[in-house]
Amino acid sequence: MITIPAIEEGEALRPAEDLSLHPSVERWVCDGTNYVGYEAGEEPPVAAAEGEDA
Amino acid sequence: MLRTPSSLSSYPSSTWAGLPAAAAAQGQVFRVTDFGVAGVGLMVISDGTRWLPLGPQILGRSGVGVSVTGTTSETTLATVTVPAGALGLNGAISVQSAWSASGTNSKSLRVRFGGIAGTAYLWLAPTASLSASDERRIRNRGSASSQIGSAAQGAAGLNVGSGSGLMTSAVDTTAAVDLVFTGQLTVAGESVTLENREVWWLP
Repeated sequence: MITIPAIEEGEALRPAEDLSLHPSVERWVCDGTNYVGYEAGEEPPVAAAEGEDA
Repeated sequence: MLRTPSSLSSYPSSTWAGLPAAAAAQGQVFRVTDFGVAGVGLMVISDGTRWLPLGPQILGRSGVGVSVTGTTSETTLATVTVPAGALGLNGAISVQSAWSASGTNSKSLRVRFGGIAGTAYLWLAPTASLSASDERRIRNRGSASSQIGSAAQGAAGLNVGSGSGLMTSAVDTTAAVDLVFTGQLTVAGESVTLENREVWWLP
């Protein structure tokens, strides 16, 4: 798992570095604080469906 | 006649900023090393006035999904930079994207030209789960600072608007321009994912 800080630009968030510099990552998820990169075999957390507990 | 395969190293290479003046290199082909797909770059040819793509060239592409969840801030999912002056007066980029979104509340999927504050040439605002693929064309219209595109909001892939007209912008393309793909939620627990994207540079 690779974590890259999200930084604020105006009212938007962007990664603090180029995500393509990490070609082993299969999926990125930004949670408002970080961009977290998941590699093969690592499962991103599934967002809770509406009405369910997180 | 014996023909031997050529390789990328057969062509002179340069960074974009380091290319010779186009006027002094008419008809010459160069490989630009600092844009495009890593290890390939961009193949460009001089028409005596500027450097043009030698056929459509990929500025950026990836099938790695990038999601936003847990925040209602507009969030950059990918950035592709158009080199300074690459579009000339009449050049274009083609932007292809595939998206998914989950949840029943409003969310925004955007492609902006000119950075995070730029013009949204794609702006989908679904209120249900969605899978969408789309293509947008952004072309300079006889000026390096005037662009015409598609209807921004409409049925994905059809580029049909509902009264909002075609998107235009006045971005100065003599400087490098960032094209950004963004997702924004109104309920933080939902998600928007940019699943796949390609940005082509066209003559």
